[in-house]
Amino acid sequence: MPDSTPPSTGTARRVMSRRSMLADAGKLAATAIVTGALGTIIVRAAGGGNPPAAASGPGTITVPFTYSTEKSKWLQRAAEAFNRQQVTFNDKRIVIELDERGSVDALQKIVSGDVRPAAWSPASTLELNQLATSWDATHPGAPILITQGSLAPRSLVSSPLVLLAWQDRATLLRRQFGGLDWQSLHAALTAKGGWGSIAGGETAWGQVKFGQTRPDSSNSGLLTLALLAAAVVGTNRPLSVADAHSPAFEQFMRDFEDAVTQFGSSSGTFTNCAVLLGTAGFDVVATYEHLALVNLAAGAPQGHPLELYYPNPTLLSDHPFAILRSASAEQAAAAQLFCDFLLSTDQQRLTLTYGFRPSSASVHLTDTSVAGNLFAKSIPGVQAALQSAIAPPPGGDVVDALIAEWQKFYQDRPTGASC
Amino acid sequence: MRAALRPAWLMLLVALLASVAACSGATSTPQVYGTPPPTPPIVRAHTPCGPHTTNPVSLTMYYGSEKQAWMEDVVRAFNSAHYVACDGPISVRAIPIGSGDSMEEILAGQIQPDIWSPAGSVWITLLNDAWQQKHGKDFVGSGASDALSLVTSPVVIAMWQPLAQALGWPKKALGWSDIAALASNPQGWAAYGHPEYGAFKFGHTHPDTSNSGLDSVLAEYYAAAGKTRDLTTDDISNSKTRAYLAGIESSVIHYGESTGFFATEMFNRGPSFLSAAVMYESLVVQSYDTAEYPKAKSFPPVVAIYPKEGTFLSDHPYTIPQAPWVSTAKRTSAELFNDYLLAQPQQAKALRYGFRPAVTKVAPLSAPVDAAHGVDPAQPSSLLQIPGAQLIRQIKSSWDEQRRKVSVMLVLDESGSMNDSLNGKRKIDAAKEGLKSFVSLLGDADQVGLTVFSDSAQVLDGIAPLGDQRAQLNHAIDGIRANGSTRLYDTVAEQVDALKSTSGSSIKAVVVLTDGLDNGSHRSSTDLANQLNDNGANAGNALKVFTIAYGSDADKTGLQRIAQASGGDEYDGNPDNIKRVFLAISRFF
Repeated sequence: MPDSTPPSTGTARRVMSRRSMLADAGKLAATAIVTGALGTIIVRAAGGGNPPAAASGPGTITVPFTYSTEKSKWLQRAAEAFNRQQVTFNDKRIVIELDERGSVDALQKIVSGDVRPAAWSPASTLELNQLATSWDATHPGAPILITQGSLAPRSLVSSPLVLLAWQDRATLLRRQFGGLDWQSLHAALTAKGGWGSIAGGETAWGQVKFGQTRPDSSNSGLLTLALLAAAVVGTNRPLSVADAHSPAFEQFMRDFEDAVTQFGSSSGTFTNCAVLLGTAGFDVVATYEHLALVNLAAGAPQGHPLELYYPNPTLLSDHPFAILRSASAEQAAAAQLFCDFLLSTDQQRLTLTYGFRPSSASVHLTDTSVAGNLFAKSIPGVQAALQSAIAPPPGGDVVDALIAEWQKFYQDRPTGASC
Repeated sequence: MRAALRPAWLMLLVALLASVAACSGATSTPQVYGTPPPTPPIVRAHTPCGPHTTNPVSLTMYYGSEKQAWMEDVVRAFNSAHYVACDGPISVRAIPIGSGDSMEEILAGQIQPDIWSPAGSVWITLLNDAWQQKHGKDFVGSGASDALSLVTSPVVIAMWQPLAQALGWPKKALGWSDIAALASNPQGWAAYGHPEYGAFKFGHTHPDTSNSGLDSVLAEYYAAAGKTRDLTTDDISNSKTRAYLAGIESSVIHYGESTGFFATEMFNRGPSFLSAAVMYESLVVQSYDTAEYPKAKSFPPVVAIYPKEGTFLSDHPYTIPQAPWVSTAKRTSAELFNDYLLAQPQQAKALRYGFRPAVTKVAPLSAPVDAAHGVDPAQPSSLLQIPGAQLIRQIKSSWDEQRRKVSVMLVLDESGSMNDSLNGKRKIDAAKEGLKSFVSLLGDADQVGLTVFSDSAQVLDGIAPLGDQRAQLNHAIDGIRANGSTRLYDTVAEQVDALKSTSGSSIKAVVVLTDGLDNGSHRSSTDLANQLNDNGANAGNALKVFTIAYGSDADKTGLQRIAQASGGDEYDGNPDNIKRVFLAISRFF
C-alpha cells in the first residue's frame, strides 16, 4: 500500500538540502537586516492572525482568540488592523492570534482542552451558558469564564434569526397557507403530495423542503430548535426542560427536521450552500439576518430572487466577547484592549457592511455615510427597526435538552459538503 | 491568519532567524522557489503554522476516480509550481480510487491519506460512523471548512438520444418509473417502436464501492416508496418496494467498481451493449469528446435524464483527516492545496471536464454544461434527502437480496508452473486463497461452479446455487494440486458453451486465472475472441469473461483479447494482490 510519509530521501539527504537552502537564504537575509526591514516584514507576514514563531517572545503578549465563523471576514480584517497598530501593554506588543471555528465545535474543544483561547466569541450567549454549565460539572467552584467586573462578556454585534426563501416559492406558500409563520410553514412541509398539491407548484419540485444547520454543531440550528419549541408552548413563559421532551414538541420538531434535505454544519457556509443548490435543494432556510443580507445584496442567484422574513418572536445571536480565567493577567488586559478596539466606532461602523447590527449606540443602523452599509441599501423585507419580539435565550439545561432531543433522531444524518 | 500567502523567500528568512550563525559564510545565490497561490475565493479557516522548517512536504491524496482527468491536470500544474505554506515546497501524490474502497481501506488501516476526497459527502457520514465505533471520534471534522466541495455533478441516467425520445424526452419528464416499466416489459424496446435496440439493457455500479452505485440504489428505493425524504425501515422492506427494485435490477447487465468503466463501455460499444446507465452529468458531457471516445462518432448522441422523482448531487468534498499521521506541516500544506483547487483557474478547468464549479462566482456555470452536450444546467429540479448511516446499511443489505444474481464458472490453471513461487509465495496457494475470498463475497442465491485445467480440463463442481454447495466448493478448492501443461483456450471455450446453454435470468460470467501461455489447446485466443464477440442487439447481455493474467509469464495479450471481446475486464494478478483482484471482479455481480 502507498504510504503517507514523506518520500524516503533519507535523513542525510534531507539535512543537506535544508542546509543548502539556509545557505542560499543567507545573502538575502543579510540584505534585509541591513535595510532594517526584517521586523516589519515578519509582522506584515503574520497578517491579522498567527505570527510566525519569530514574532512572539519576551517582548510580546500573544492572545489566542477563538471566534465563530460567521464573523470571519470582519474579525480577520479587524485583527489585522489591530496587529498593525502595534498596540502595547506593559511595553509589550500585543499580537492577536486568530482561531476560527464553529461555536459548538469550539465549546467542545475548550472543554476537552484541545483549544486553549484567552478569549472566545461564540455566536451567542447560549454557548457561554453551555460552557459554564459543562465546566461546572467537572470543576465545581472554579468557573471557566470571567463574568464580573470590567472583564465580563460584552456583546460585539447582534443578528436575529430570519428565514430566507425563494421568492416565487414563498409567494405560492403564502397564497396556499395564508402566511409563513411556523404553523403555516408546518402545514406546507407536511402537505401530502408536496408541491404537486400546492396551487402553482409542480410535482417535480418534490416535497416542500426546509433547511437549517445541525443544532449540535451550529448556533443558528440551535436557535431554530428553540423557536420551534416556543411555537409549540407559546411565549408567555420561558422554555423548560420538560417542554423540550414533550410529545407535542417532538412531533412538531420532527415534521420540520424530516423536511431538511441535508443539514449544514456552520451557518455561514450553509447559507451559501443553500443559495448555490438553488430551488432543487431547499425552499425555506433558517439563517441569520446578516448572512441573508449579504446574499440578498448580491442579487438574484441564477435568476431566482430571494426573500427575507422574520419569525415572531425571534432570537438574537449576540456574539459575546468573553475572557477565560485561564488567561494570564497580561493576556486578559490585552484581550480587553482588543475588545475595546472592536467596539470602537470605526470598527462598529465596519460591521454594517457585513450586515451585523452594531452594539455601539453611537452607530446608526441606516447610516448612509458608511460605504457598503447593507442596512442602507433598501433591501426589500429588511426590518431596520425590528418588528418581531425578541425571545429570551433559554438556559443551559434547556439547550442541552433540545440538542439531546434532536440527536435522538438525527445524530447520524449527514451534512452536505460546503454546507 | 494564514501562512499560505507568505512568499517563499520570506519563509527562508524566518528559518534563518533560528540559525543565522550557521549561514554567515554562505555565498551561493538565493534559491527562490514557489509562487504564492491565489487568494482563496471563499472565506475559510486556516490552521496556524507549527515550528517553521524548510523541509519539503509531500501529501498523499486519495480521491474518487470520476474526477481523475481534472485532478491529474491540476495536480501536475500544482506540483510544478512548488508552492509553500508554513514549511518547504509541497508536492501532491494523488491516487484515484472508488469512494467505497478508499473508505474500507482507511478503516482497515491499509491507507493513511493526508487528503481524502470521495465523490460524495455521504461517504464522510459512513466513514465517521464506523470510525467513531472504532476510535471514539470522527475521522473528518464537522467544522465549516472541513469538507468544502471542490466541484459538483448531478447523478443522472445517461441514455442514447433516440431511445430517450422514444420515451417522450425532452417534452416529458422521465425518471425511475419509466426505467422500471421498460425493465419489466418483455418486449423491451420493441414496445416503444425500436425493435432494433433489442432488450432494455441497464447499468449502475456496485453500491458498496462506488458513489454513483450507492446514489442509484438510494434513488430507486425513494422512487419505489414514492417519497423524496424520510425513508423508513418499512419502506425498504415491504414487498412492493422489493418487487420494484428486483424489476429494475433484472435489466442490469453487470455491476462494477467504476462509473468510468460503464461510461467507456457504453460510449465505445453503443446501444446494443447498454441502453442506459447511471453516471454523472460530467460523463455525459465528456461523451461528446471524440478524442476521449473515438467510437462515439458511429453512435447517436447521449443525453442526461434527471430523474423526475429527484436525484443526488455528487459534491466531491475535500477533507483533511483528524488523524495522527497528519502533521501540522501537512495540514497547513493541504489547506493551501484546497485553496488552490478552489481558485479560478482550477475551477474553470473543472468546467471544461464537464463538472459544475463549486465556486460559481469565479467560474460561472456555462458551456460545455449545456444542451449541446446533452445536459440541462437548469436541472435537477429536486434533490433527495441523504439518509443516515444506519438506514443506508439497511438499504445496502436489502439491495443485495434484490440485485440481479450471477452464474459464474471459475476456471483455474493448475499447470505445473503454478507450483512456482512469486514474491515468496507459492502461486497456487495464493490463487486458492483468492478463489475462496471470491466465493465468500457471493450470496447463497448466486450460482457458482469450479473448473481446473492443465493437460485436460476437469469440472470439480458444476454450476449450482452457492447456498447448496458452499462447503463443498471450498473443500474442492483446498484439494487442488498443480501439475502438467496449460490447456487454456479450449477449456474456457467449453465452459462458455456450457454456461450459455443454461437457462435463467442471471448475469453469466466465466472468471479465468492462468499463469502461462496456452500449450494444450486447438483454439487460439483469436478464435475464442471471435466466438465471444456478440454483434446482436443484445450484446450487453452476452456472457462475459473476466481474465486474470497471473504473474509475468501469462499470455496477457490473449487474455485481454478475450475479455474485451466479451465485454468483461482483464486484470494483472500476483500472489500479493490476488484477493484484491477477485474483490474487484466480485463487484461486477
